[in-house]
Amino acid sequence: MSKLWQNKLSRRIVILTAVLLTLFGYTVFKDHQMLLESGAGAALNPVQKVVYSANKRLESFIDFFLRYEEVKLENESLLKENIELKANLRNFDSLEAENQRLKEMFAFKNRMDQYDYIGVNVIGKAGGGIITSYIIDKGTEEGLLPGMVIMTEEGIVGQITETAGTWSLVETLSSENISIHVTTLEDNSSSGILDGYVGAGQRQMAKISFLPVDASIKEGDPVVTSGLGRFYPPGFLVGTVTRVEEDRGNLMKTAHVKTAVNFKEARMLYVVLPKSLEDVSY
Amino acid sequence: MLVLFLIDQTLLPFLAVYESYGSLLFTFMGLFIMQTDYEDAFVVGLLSGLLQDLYFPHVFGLHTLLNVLLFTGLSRIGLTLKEGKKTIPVLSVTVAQGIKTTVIIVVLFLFGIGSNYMALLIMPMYTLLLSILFYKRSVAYSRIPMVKKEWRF
Repeated sequence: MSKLWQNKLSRRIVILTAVLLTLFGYTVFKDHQMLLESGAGAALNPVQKVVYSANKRLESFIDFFLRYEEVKLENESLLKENIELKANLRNFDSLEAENQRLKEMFAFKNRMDQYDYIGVNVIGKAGGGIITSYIIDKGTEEGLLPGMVIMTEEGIVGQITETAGTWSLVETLSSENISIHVTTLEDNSSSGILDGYVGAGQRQMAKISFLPVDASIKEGDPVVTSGLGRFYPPGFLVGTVTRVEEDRGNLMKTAHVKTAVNFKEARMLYVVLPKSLEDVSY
Repeated sequence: MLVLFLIDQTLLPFLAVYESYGSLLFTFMGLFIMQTDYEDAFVVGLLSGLLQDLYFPHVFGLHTLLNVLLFTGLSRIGLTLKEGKKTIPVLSVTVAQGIKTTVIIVVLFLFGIGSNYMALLIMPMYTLLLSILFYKRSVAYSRIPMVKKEWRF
């Protein structure tokens, strides 16, 4: 032991190991970045944002040519869908006007109005290939907190796991470190905590575990946020049930869910912020 | 080192295999360290580890600790090698990446943090490929007069 202490390099390594293990123990369950990380990240982010955006555009450009036939077919189907949706919209306009009139009559508060939606950009990928995590360009200065969800216009895509002053780390729904309270559209009794996992072929998947065995959830059911705890509005699409497994021994079911939005293909991202944080604790 | 770190964050993720990819920073510096001494290994390990820890979620300090220990080990291996031999440095850096990935995943697992287990296979393979591609550049870099310490008698 004394020989270890006499050697200059060994002494440095031992001291550094002690310091780093202390730091490691301090940070392992913290969800806010330290001052060093926050400041260094703020310095690197502008350059990182430019390079990441350029590479993202290049990837989209190459992807377009590789998937040209697929894009052409997708375009044709979208045109047909657009025509059908326009027809539906004409019917819905009159229903919405009546709904609005009834809301005003009963002073009904729209839960969606209790949240702000802040646009964010992905400026890099973190986790070093071991944890799949993305860096976004907003942090605590804009009011972001760990636990807030990230969404696109199509649905929920992920959740903030750590924040710094001007940037934050986000993990997608398929991460095992993410959990969101969800329910099905048809039946609110089929509600539970959704946990992520990566399925066969690296597909982004999630599952709702510990459902009661008599829950009516079935394949094809859309899964949406429940709004429990008021962290995020209810009714935002999370995904679709692909299969349901029954465990009669433990009297429970597990529903496997395919997420609605692929984070990598998401264009506009928003963070959902409650307008009033008094009744919400992340 | 900053440029390599930025490449790791912004370019390599687009070339990921099963969401996992190697680290050009670790690979290049690992190869470079095998041609220098312990002092450089300590400093390079410390700096490269701090950069890698910067954006690593959930914990801070793991990359720094592992880089310092592994680079010191690589430097020791490098001292015993003849110049010009490529196989041992390339394999050593690959094994070092494998050890690092395994330790990180095990530590995260012990703390209940989920990670990508495919990284155990993908990252060393990726590192092997990067090592083969960048070995000559790392040797050339270590010979730049500003970088190389020259003893004058």
